[in-house]
This record gives sequence, structure tokens and C-alpha cells, in this order.
Amino acid sequence: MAEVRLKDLTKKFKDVAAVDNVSLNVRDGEFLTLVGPSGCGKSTTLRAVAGLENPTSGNIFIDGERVNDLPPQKRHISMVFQSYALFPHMTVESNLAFGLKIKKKGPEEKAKRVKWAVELLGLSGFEKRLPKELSGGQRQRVALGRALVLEPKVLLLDEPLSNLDAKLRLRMRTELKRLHKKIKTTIIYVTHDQAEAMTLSDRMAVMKDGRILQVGTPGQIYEKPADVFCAGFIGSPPMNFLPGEKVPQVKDKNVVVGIRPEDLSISLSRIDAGIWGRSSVTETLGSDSYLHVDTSEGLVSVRLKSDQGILEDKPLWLVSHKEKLHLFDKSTGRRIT
Amino acid sequence: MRTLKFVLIGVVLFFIVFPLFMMTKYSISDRESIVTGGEYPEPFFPFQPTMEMFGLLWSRGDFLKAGLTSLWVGLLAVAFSLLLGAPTAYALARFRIPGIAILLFFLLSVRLFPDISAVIPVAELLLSRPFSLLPPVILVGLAHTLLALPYTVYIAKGVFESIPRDLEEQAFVLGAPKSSTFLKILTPLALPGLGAAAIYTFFLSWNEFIFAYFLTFQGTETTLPVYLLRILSWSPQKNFISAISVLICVPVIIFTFLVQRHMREGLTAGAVK
Ligand SMILES: Nc1ncnc2c1ncn2[C@@H]1O[C@H](COP(=O)(O)OP(=O)(O)O)[C@@H](O)[C@H]1O
Ligand SMILES: [Mg+2]
Repeated sequence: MAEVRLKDLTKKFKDVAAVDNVSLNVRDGEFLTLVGPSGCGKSTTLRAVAGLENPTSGNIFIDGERVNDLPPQKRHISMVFQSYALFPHMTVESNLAFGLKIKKKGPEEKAKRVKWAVELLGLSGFEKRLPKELSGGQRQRVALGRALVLEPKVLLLDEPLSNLDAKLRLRMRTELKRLHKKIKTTIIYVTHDQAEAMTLSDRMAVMKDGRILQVGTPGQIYEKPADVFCAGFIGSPPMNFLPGEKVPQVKDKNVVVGIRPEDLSISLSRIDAGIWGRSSVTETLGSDSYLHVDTSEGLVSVRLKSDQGILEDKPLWLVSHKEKLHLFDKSTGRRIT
Repeated sequence: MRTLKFVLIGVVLFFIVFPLFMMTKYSISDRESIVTGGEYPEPFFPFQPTMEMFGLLWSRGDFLKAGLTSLWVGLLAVAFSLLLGAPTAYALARFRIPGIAILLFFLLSVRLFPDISAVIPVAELLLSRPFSLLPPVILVGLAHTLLALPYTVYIAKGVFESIPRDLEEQAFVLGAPKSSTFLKILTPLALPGLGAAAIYTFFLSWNEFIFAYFLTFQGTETTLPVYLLRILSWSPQKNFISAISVLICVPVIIFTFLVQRHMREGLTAGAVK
């Protein structure tokens, strides 16, 4: 277990900054997620912590020690690659034992640790198989096990679930969370999937264009997104954005108003504080249904109450409690209080 | 369509099998079956098949010596081309190297004009000091390395490109020094593909004539194809020459048959993960 601190970390490829002046504190035993769209610098940040990329500038501390110049094996980290990177010619057992062998652990210690991982990850009976004889989920667990047997202080996971099918992904999410509860290792987790980040993380850092825009618990970021990007990126279906002057409760053209679909309610009769629109299609996502409403500012999605029937092509008014509105500065995109 | 396919396959087979058949037939022919004096047609199969020519060859030390020379030259060419080619290919597969197109062009250049044109400058170089101090086996091995290198590099580059970089980085993160990564990860994964390159090089060397001829025709140590020419130049008796040819071909055919599946896998290593 350990804390990780990034201080003004910058990594440039040629002249382009993949990671741009990032500072971040990852607490001891925390599950922290770097989340953001593809290409925003998540992997590069993770690889810098692992020691696979040399920072252009800035520092990386693990447990207070500056590790910039240390090779990966001296950083007490383990990393799971998006591709799993299992050694194709080695059995599950040999894959799991690879790092231990390099570290010259005795045969007893090695066997004990491998057995521990096999049991922890439900791989019993598969020890002698080659990676190609395993299912996607099993491969993923072998990759995880290979990282865990080294008892890292920090576990780095780069989109570990992205190669699994949707159902398995959900199951592995739960398993990962359970695993973290059990081993309590500090985990830095990378994903572009905001739902994954929301369900797994203790805290998450939203990244865009190599910068961290906001760090907080999933709840904090959902409730109080720091800017328009975070507001739109976190939550599904995404937050609706309307120009301030079109929202009667605001009436300010220097403001962008964000309203989450669940914070809107529908009225079939005229409301002064409401926004007029015409109902379009209904979309059902699992237990929730969303109505898309055609307004003068484009489609706005609204979560329907469970007893609300489908209203199609009807004029209606959308209204929200004033305190549920998210106000952003139109020119900077930053949140206004 | 079906008929056409069979006809085409038939034609191709004929052109491959017929020379092999003739060669084998002559090699076991008795005198009457090849020296007809125009009095009767040459038989389809020898009147009295005989292994006499093989016995004769076996008893001649110079044939066995040439065979051994060919073997050594082939193995040297394989060793040299892998030692030089595999690391080059690895570098090409993994790093962006400025001016690489020019390097590749030079690598290929020996094969861009006829061997008979390339052989003179190469032989000139290898037959002058300090190279000329080396034994002929090594000189021919070096020449064959030069010929095989472009292919070795090309095949090996594909092999290394098919090995994900992630595997090396993963090994690095797990604490493996470069040497372990090379021995325990890269080598086992590259071996089938490099094996294909090795087999290719060996046969190229085994069959190569022009460079071997220019480098060894003055000495006593020659490879099998050059030896065959020497025999041809003094007593062109069909059965004797055919017996030599059969003995040169047989290892190639048997070996190819045994490893063809393996070789195909190696050559397509880049395509299938
Ligand atoms: N080795 C590299 N060479 C050049 N550019 C790179 C390299 N690695 C990453 N990049 C660039 O850096 C940016 C961030 O990449 P990455 O960290 O992989 O993003 P993410 O993991 O968030 O999708 C991208 O624009 C990518 O093209
Ligand atoms: Mg990535």
C-alpha cells in the first residue's frame, strides 16, 4: 500500500503534450480512476507512473520517494496492460510465476503465491493451460494475478475490461471492486467508460487533452461538475445544455445552463418558468425511460417517472428546481459557484 | 472449371515431377538403358536397375568431402545470416531509424542484378586480404550470407512485428532484465519464424553455384554444385551425374517434406496471432 503523488507531470511526444502539467495525489489504499475520452493522455500518465515513459518534466513520488529515475521493478508497482500481454508460450502457472522467478523467490514461496492467486481469482484447474486455451475473462484474471503475486504497493490497470463483452464486463467490474476491498492495494485505474469509473472508483480524475479537469468522488463530480466538459462527460444519458437566456429561471446570456435528465419534470399545461417543447421519441434504458423533447435549442432528454405514459408529439413544458440547475460561464466553461 | 483445375494441376505436376523422374531413372540405369547406340529406344524404366553409381560415389572420398563442405557452408550461412539478420530485423521492427530506406536498398542491392554480375566485385573483395586468409568454407559461407540476408531480415522483421511490444514492456515491468526478456520471451516466440528463415538460407546455400564456383574453383575444397561441374567437365556420363544430382536433391526434398507445415506457420507468423 502506498500513496502516489504526481507533481506538474508533463510528457511531450515531439512537441505535443500528451500529459500537460498534471498534479494528482492518490491516497493510500484508494481506488482512483483516470477517466476521459480516448487520446486524452490516460495511458501515458499511467505508463509514466509505471516507469515505461520518461516524464519530460515534473516529478512522480511513490510513498514520498521520487521515482523518476527508478526502473519499474524498483517502484513496487505492477501493471496490467489493456491487451493483457500474457506470454503466449507459457502456461497460466508460468505466467503467474514469471515475476516471482525474476525476483528469485524460492520454490516454496513461489508455489504459495501462485496458489494464492489461483484461488483468489478462481483459476483452479486451469494452471496448466496456455493463454489461448482460456476465455477472455480468464485471461484477464491471469493478467491480474500475475500483477498481484508480486504484492505491489500500487496496482496500475489500463482499461482492463475493455476487451470483454458487455455482460462479462459488468461481472468483472463487481469482481474488481470486491478484490480491491479484500487486498486494499492502491489502484490507479484507466478507462474511457464513465459508467465504469462511476461504479468502481473511490475517487476519479476527469482528463481532457492531457489535463486533469476535476478530481473527486463520483458523487461530487456528478453533483458538482467543475466545468461543461465534466458535466457532459459524466452521466448517461448526458446532461442537457441550454443557453442561459432561454431558461426563464436564469435569463442570462453569459451563462450556459446544464440540467440532468432526472432533474426535469414535464407539465402538459403552460408554466411560466418552463421551457416549451414538443415530445419526440421515448427511449428505454433498463429500468428507466427517457423522453426526448424537441425544443427551440434542440433535443432535450427527460427521465420519465415510472407512472408516466408515452406522450408522443404533444406540446409540453419542461421545468426544473432552480437549485438543480448547473450554471457555467459561457466563455470559460467553468462552473459558477 | 473443375476439369480446368485438374488439367492445370496436372501440367504443373508434370513439369515438377518429370525432371525428378528422369534424374532418378538415369541414376539407377544400367549401361544398356542409356547407351542405346540408336539401335533401340531408350526404355521408360531401366532394363536392370542398379545402385552401382551410388556405390561408386560412396567409395569416392571427394564426393563425401564436397557434401561435407556444402553442409558446413550452409550451416555457416545460416549462423551468420541469423546473427546479423535477426538483430537488424528486430531494430527495424521496433525502432524508427532515419535513412532506413537507403539501408534496405543496399541490403537488397546484391540481388538486384544477375548473380553473374554481382559475383565479380564480391569475389574480388573476398579473395583479397584480409579475407583471403580465411578458409574457403568461411568465404563461401560469407558470400551466401550476403545473398540470404535480405530474405532473413525481411522474414525476421515480420516475425518480430508479430510479437506485441506489450509483451516486452510487461516483462520489463515485471522486473525482467533485457537478457531474460530476450531469452525467455522473444526467442521462443520468434523461433518458428526464424527457423523458416534458417531453412530458406540453408537451401539457398546448398543449391548456390556461381558464388561458390568463383570462390573455390582454384582450390580443392568445393561445394556439391561446383563438384558436379567438375565431374561434368571430364566424364559426362548420364547415370553418374544423375546419381550426384539425386544425392544433392534428396536431403532437400525429405527435409522440405518434413518441415513444410512448420515452415508455412513460420512464414505466416505475422498474419496469425
Ligand atoms: N509513443 C507515442 N508517440 C507519439 N505519440 C504518442 C505516443 N503515445 C501516445 N501518444 C499520443 O499521446 C496522446 C495521449 O495518448 P494516450 O495516453 O495513449 O491516450 P489515452 O490512453 O487517454 O487514450 C495521444 O494523442 C497519442 O496519440
Ligand atoms: Mg489508452
